[in-house]
Amino acid sequence: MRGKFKDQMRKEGKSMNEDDKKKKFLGVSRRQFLGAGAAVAGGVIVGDPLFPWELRAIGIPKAWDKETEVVVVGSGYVGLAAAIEAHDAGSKAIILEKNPFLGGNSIIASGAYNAVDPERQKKQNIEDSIDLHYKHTIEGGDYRGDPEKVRYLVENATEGLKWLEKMGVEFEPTVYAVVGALYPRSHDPIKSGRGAAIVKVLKDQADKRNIPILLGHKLTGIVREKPLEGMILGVEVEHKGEKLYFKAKKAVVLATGGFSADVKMRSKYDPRLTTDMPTTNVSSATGEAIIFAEDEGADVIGMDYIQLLMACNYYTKKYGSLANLGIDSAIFINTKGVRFVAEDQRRDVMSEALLQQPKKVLLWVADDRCKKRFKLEMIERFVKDGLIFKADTMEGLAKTVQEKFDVPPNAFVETVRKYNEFAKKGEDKEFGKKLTNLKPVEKPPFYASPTQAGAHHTMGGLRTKGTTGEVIDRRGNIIPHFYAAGEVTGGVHGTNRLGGNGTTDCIVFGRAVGKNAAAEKPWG
Amino acid sequence: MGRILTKNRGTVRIASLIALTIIILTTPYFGILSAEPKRLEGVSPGDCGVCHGSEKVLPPGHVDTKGIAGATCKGCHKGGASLRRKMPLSHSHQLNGVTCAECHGITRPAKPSEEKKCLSCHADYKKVAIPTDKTLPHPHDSHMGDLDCRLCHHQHSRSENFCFQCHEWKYLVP
Repeated sequence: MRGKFKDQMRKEGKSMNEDDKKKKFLGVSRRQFLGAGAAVAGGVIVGDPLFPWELRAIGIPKAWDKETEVVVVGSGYVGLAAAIEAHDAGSKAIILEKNPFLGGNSIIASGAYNAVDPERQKKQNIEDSIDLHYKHTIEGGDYRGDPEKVRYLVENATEGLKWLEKMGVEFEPTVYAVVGALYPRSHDPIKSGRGAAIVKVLKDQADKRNIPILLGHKLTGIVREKPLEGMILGVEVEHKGEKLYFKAKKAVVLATGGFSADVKMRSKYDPRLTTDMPTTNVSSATGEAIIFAEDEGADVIGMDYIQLLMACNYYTKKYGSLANLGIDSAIFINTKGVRFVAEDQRRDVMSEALLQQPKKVLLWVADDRCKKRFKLEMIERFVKDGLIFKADTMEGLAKTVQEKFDVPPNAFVETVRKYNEFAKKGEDKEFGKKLTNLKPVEKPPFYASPTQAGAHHTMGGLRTKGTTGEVIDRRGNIIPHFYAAGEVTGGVHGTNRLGGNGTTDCIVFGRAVGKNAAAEKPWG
Repeated sequence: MGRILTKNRGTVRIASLIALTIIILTTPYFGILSAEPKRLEGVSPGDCGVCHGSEKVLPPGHVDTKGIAGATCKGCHKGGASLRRKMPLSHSHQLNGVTCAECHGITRPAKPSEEKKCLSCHADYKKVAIPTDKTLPHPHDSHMGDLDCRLCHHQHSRSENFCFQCHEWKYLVP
């Protein structure tokens, strides 16, 4: 045994020496490179056994474990939509999902989908247009959004809605303005779970098409022909401790979502987003796929723009457990008992204002009308668990919030009275809440959800070409056979995403990359 | 003497490394660590002592369980005295005739179990959900869809409550 071990060492020593010789003219030895490389980008730099002077993030495997035409990484809205469209365009697709369950953030989302909707909006006397949707989106993102992408988004939003309906998603008969939508064009899925209802429908459609969804397959690298050159060949994933290589003969599609739960990455761009800042996201919403793409030369944009949303329950520090996500019959009151921002403002404006408030808490005050959006038994459950407060009178509610948060009860009641008067008179003299959203809060019972801001959506991400979704490198060139869509990309929402535009982004661009990936010529 | 020691050091090191590797690799399947009881196949399920040794796993005064099968347990353990959540599900399975091999195959080292194994006996998700129809929010009819049974219902360790990651609902998970 000792002899065998020595032979092994000798063999390795021999090859290492050969590489060292080759390295000489570069002036650095392979061992030195490897030593430094291991510390880079949290990944491992490997030397290609054939071309040891070519360092790459992931080596080309000697053999592929599985092969298909379109490899989709991620099983949320984008992953499912892209795989379905790729399939319907005649290609074989596989979805890889790192969690032991699918859906990522999409399966906990509220599913609000923004689109101009002539039928519904006409019935509600709402004037809307694609140009107006464009204007709101590009302005709402402070003009940092790529105009070509925003145009594509708003022009295909309605069609995307119809596609979802064709797939089997039922939407409410009326539209409204979800928090931060800035205009009433948000569509809520009817079935329980809302966003989860969209995921369920798309999953059923994927199952019908026999598209494999492989759970527990975590992306650990993207395989490219040559370092920073050539086409994307496939992916490396980890499954049950083993590395597997999936060959993608047509394209790799990244549908991996954002990085709001990735403290290391998010705090790099916004130092306030330490572990103390909660997130509305699932804990697996991390940005490793972005790093792997960057390792292969992909460019990123807008990474500084991370949206906080006032939708984390104060007690659970997680998304949900709120009585209301609507902003019309709603008042935001701080622990001093007063309002501090218009409830129909941009999400970033409201969240930043909230961070300035005492305890960084707002009480999302709503009345009986909030039953429209949430099931009564769920609201009752939250009340029973002590996560939100309920009372039959505003005075009663004031007493409860005084107990819990030391809110001066008289100020609280007076704020609500003043707000309702503004609603009656048709003008919010304090904060300029728009008339269309200025609905009174007066129908008992009344609820107050103690809410905090949490990291919610990362507007930045991989840079992709206008409307095709092809990933672009740092020199502005397309990386062949490489697509990305949804929150993993940047450039659609600029500095701030409108509420309801996220779902639209996923469906519109998810479908587009699915179709485009399928249209690629297979390389092997 | 010094030379011999030096010569042998490498061998001892390799031997220890190999032994350690074997221990680490087989631990997940056969719980060799002294903290856990042994995990032996082919043993009569009611014969607690064979795996648990002298550890008192039964309450004092309990009848001798050697040779007893699940149906006999249920003779006393019904209603409020149910054995639900009192022992790992692997035990419940063994006592009712579902052996290690049923889920892990017969080759060794054992294969990991598969979700479809659960459903091969426990019919389908909807059927399994019926006993929890009165438990609200319904743990088997949620926005997460049909989750892998094993995410909650662990066999070889205490079961967990998957929903508790985000929600405050303290389900008692068998």
